[in-house]
Amino acid sequence: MAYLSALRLCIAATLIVVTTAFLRILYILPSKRISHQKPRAKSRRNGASHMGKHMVIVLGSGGHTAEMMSLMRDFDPRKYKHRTYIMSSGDGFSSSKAFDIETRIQTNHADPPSKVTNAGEYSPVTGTWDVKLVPRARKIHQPLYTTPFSALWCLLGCFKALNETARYSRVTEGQFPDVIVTNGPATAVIFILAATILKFFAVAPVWSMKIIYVESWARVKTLSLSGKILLKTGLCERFFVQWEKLALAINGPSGRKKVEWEGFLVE
Amino acid sequence: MRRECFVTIGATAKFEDLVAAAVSEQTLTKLKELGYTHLTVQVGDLEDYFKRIRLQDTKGIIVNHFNFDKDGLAHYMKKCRANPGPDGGSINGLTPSEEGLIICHAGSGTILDGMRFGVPLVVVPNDSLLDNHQDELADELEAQGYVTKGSPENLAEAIDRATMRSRRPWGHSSSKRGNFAALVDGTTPWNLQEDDAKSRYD
Repeated sequence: MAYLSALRLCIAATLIVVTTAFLRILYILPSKRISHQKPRAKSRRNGASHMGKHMVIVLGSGGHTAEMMSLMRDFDPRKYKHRTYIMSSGDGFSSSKAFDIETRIQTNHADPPSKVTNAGEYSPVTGTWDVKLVPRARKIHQPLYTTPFSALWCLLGCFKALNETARYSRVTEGQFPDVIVTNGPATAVIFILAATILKFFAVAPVWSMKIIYVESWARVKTLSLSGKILLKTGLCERFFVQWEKLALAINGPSGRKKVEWEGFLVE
Repeated sequence: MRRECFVTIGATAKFEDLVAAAVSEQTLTKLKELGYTHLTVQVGDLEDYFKRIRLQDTKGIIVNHFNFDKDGLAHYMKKCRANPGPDGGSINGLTPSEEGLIICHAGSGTILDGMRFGVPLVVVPNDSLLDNHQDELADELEAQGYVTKGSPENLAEAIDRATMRSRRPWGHSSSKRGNFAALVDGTTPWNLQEDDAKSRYD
């Protein structure tokens, strides 16, 4: 009897945990009906949100980064006063790409116009930016059975990067980023997973770290693996594809919008 | 007048077939026939291969090559643009030129660069890559009239088509374009300050 009741207790406990986790996931996932908004700051003085937003850009290798440079062209650094670039270790020359993106978006607003800040510097007009390295989720030619370990290592690196960039932000100190933008390198999936886990355990508020995904311009008929995973799991607030054909193929005739098409987003 | 053709195989994958096709007898004959004067090939890791297969007789075309350029390929692509120039003079250090041609692998970054410079583009997908989405991109861009799709086997014919046909410019007006920054702005309310100011007066 004692054995049975212990079993019952275990089952009951498991059910409660599973149900709670399920409801929690339902609550934190982005939804078309309920949009998580940051509560208004009561006093106008402590409203850190007025200081500008914190944006995270997840960069990948060659083609992804070239597209991201184009996507970022119109961002106003006066609105997004802290910009964090996430890169995989080993993407050697990508770090100069972050500076190229910064040069492009700061040039219109920097004061004086010729001065572009380096990583870690602060300007009252264009704010600040930094670069965080995370371990690679999977190296090229890495055997499949070791991938879970390297992915886990990458996940831990993402937690660390998020924590550091939030804690030492000169613009929104101690707050998690407002928005995460990516166009699909493998690292991005792990990074987005890390952000979602932080929301699940209420380490980060549900209205923080809105995830915006842009499928690569090179994807005409099918989604990339990252795109497929992120669409299936529904972790993204907005999900854009750049070819009408692809949008029609995914959304189907029902008219239910799984992905958005706004034309070419790269230039 | 100067007329340049630039060939790039990209940084990541080896693409012997394109390098071989770029300096083949048929290609050089075709380029000469169309009035090209210069051919520049980015060969990546394939320099030894390139030197081995290069023809001695280049049909009077000046053939250059380089491995990589850490400053990017924009400089080479610009040289392919039409540059009317003042009589006999030079613009930005370049002598006057007729509109040239870029032949490239189907990497999205390279294609976008080429289209931005407004130079005719022959896109050659690398069939040896497992993932064939580059092939689909080249097909779609060809169907919509932005580029000419070629293969290592029919490169001379693709050069002919790319030079003759009129192409759709990758400009602002020719297709639907979204402003990504505005779309992201719309996701989170940014004008809290204005909202607050408004609610004070309400």
